[in-house]
Amino acid sequence: MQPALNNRVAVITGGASGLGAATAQALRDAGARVVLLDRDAPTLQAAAQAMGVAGYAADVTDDSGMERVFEQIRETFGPVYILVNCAGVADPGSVVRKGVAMPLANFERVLEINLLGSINAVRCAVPQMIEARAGDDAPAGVVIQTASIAAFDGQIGQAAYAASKGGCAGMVLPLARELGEYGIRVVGIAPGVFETPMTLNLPPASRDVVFAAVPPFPPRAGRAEEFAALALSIIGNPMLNGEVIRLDGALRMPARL
Amino acid sequence: MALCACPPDYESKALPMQMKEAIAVVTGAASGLGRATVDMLHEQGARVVAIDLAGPALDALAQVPHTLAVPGDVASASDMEAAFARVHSAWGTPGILVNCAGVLGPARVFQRDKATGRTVPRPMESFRRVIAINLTGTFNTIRLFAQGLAQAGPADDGQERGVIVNTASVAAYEALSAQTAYGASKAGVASMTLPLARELARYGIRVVALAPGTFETGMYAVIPEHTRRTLIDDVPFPNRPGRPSEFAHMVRAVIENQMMNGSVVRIDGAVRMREPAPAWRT
Repeated sequence: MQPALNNRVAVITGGASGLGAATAQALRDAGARVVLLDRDAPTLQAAAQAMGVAGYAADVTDDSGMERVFEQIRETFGPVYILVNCAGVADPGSVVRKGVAMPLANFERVLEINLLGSINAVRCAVPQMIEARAGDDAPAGVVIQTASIAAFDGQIGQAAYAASKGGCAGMVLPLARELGEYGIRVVGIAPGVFETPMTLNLPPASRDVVFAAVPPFPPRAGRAEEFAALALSIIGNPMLNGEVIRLDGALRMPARL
Repeated sequence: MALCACPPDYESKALPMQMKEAIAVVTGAASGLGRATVDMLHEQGARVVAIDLAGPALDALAQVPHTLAVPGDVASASDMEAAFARVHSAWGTPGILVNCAGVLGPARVFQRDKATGRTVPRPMESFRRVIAINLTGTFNTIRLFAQGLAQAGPADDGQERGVIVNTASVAAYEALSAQTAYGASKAGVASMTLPLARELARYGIRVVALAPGTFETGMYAVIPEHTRRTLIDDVPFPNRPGRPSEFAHMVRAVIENQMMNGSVVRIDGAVRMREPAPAWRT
């Protein structure tokens, strides 16, 4: 299933842990030149070292900071060919709790990271993909967006997370349509419940709710390697474009458990 | 049989072993998407039961090693019962089923009666046939495949026993005019994915549907040239019909990835089918 990626540059946001780290490893094994982006510097350093790949501390919500990092990547490694957006936060919260409305800043923060953060990375990566295109019919690169099944069946307490992931899923088709003329494909993955630091580090009550949702089959949480395997399948299949793929063991989340 | 032994140190590297030695049933196996799937399964070391209507294409496939060619009509209960009985006695219980048998059967809902010049309803037969092959035919093999794997009772160990991949179509969502029956049949295939995945989970069977856009197959060849051009013009990237090998690549990705279940996956180069402007309006 492994596409030959001989030294193509692959940037993974949120690459230091969870889905991002597993994808980075799979891409490295497939021969890509992997660059991790993560805002958590110590975790990033450890991950980059363990994998033997490059890493830059970067915050996806920082407009000019991301521009600078992508420029550095271009100068150091060459133009970006693959972008996998994995940076994201869950941050559950009720709209009204004990009679008090959620501070708007809580909602905005989730959108800033999950939704605007991935657009930020896309706009920085795409010019490099276009510039490096080998010819008019040649493929020019692949963008993989991490949506979530919360984009389709968000639970109580997930208004912000679901809205942000709905946005990640919703931009896949218009991006694919816009970037098709340059030979860039855009595909989303909508994972179900996966064992990652994001879900494992939720507040205990929220974590129990999330992990209580057992998929029909396989009756367990997803493994980050399975997300990575699908990402590689997508990269290796030129006909996959403009689609958001559910990867959830047939799980559909109920309103609450 | 264990399709995926998933060792504790599970890694993506270990995935490609799953198809080795597996028994896979493919319908519509003699041409197009089905044939490409057969080739992929052989490459991965599977033994393939190739089901298709009797004819030279199936005869040719019968010559390929590790192939059991079984002629039959997927819409016929008795044909498929006989086919699965033959597989069970020859090889054992299949663990992979890929349903590719299908027809386009273009038909408008009414037609002009040549003798009288009057507009009359199209006979039901042209709709019934498309539904029988594409939708009922898909269910027909699923019920027999699942029966085989369910003999061992519920999969209490959480082990995977089987994978079903069905062929829907982007026509499940955006069928063009004269594709009423085709669109309805493929929407049916897409819609039964989730309830089947839910129902068969207890036997360790996954169910996924692929929804291909325009692919280079025999079905594509019968589409009039001007319609074909419109269809391809609309594909954002890659701007060409899909290759059956790309369909097979996705079948493999589904089989190898245990977390893929209950989903319908479009594989279409980001196309959304657009009805060409009708001649009467231009």
